[in-house]
Amino acid sequence: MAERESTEALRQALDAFGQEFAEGVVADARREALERATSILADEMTRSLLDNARAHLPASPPARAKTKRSRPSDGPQELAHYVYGVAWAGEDAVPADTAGVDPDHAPFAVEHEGLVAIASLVPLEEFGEEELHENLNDVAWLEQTARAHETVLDAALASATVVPLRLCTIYRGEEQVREMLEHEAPVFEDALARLQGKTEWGVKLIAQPGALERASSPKENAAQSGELSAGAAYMRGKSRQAEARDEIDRLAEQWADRVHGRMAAHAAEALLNPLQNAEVSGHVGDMLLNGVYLVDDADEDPFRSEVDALSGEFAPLGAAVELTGPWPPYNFVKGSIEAAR
Amino acid sequence: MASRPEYAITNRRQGEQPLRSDLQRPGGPANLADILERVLDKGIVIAGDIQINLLDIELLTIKLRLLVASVERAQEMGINWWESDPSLTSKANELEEENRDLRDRLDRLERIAGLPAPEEGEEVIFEETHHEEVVEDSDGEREETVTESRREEVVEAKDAGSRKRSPSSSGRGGSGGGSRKRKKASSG
Repeated sequence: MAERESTEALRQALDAFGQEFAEGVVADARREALERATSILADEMTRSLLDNARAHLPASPPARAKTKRSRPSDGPQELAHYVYGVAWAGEDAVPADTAGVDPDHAPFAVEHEGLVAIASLVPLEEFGEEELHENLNDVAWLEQTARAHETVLDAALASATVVPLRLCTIYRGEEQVREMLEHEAPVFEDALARLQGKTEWGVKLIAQPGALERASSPKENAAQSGELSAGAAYMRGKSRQAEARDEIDRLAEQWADRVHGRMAAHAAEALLNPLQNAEVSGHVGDMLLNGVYLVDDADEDPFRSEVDALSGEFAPLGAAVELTGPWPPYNFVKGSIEAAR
Repeated sequence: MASRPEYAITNRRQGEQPLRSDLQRPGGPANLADILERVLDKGIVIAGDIQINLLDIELLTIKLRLLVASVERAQEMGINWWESDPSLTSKANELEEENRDLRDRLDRLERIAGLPAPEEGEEVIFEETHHEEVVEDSDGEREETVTESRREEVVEAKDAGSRKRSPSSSGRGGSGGGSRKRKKASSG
């Protein structure tokens, strides 16, 4: 009897213990689980933060390129010849200390009968047909490659007249580059002769937000609308708005024509390119003109002076005249090859 | 304004601009839009050993022209060509479809040498051009060459009064830019 009683007492005690501590255990477990989850989350967040922060760091092309490629270290890479542009032989067109589109391979010259192709080696695993298809649609890759292409030609421009080729003109080997030079020699020679001593410049006219509105004729007496019926006032308001928009468009065109006309007067050739979207070009306001000019080097000073003069005239109106360059004559070679074909 | 592109800038955020680069050259890096409009669209095009599908570049160029915008802006517009095959995106599909339509119509017109059936609300007028060149040799012989003879279809749509002209002798099927405005401007 006493034994049963004591067993019962023990069970009760155990129950009480269980009840008393179960709560604590659950709480502890919960705390520990929370801690563990927190730490896992913290790790993930750290990783994500690092990834995002990396994207905001100034791009260092070689490092970025390396991560992009994930090259197998075993086995030799298959390489091709990427050609940037063509110049006269003997003009020292190949820039020293400039990285190619593949940072591991510097540009060099492929010479053939008086012409040189500025080329550099590229791995086929990045510049092969299928890979290019993908890479060209990768904005980051495209930007990096376009900049590298431009940098090489920019450097070449310092000491030579260069006919720039479109991005990603690639040959299997040096022999094929020579063949290309052989085949296209007349085109290149014509273009080089025409471009000798001339440089491409870009001139843009950008109006600050509201500048055109301010410069267009001021609104007429708004007081008059007080005398009109609501409907008539509404209609008048509508037509005024339309007029104002037309006026702004006219003014924008006028300004663009004024700048283009005066820049073209100092240029051997002049072209208009489509206006750029603010978000890539980074300008604030409305781009009214995106002109390109092939300028004789002898006329560079008057050309620049005209830019300064126009800047001075447009600054009070709230518009800026922007000069870019010197550029390889991208905009002035297309016609030559088309004409030759 | 006629010289303004249709892709008018509607969203001028001044905050974070992922693709933005500084404008000034020399010294700082050139603005990406300036570089892309040159290296993709200009410069001499020669076929290399690695065949880049020119259509790829063309599509890309057209899109860049339409966009020339940030990734974010593009996503707003429902365009994600950098993520998938360009031909799968809705915008590209639209352009392709329009292109195909135009090409089909051209084909049809070419096959049927007679009067093609105009679409409802459209009026088709044919304009014929005929170019002759007379060359006189040194020995006095005259040689006549017909360099070009073609008829042009001018479609006059009643609604907007828009005028499209498609020379049936050449393959100007529209570069996929597909903007009616541009076509309107290109007549004559």
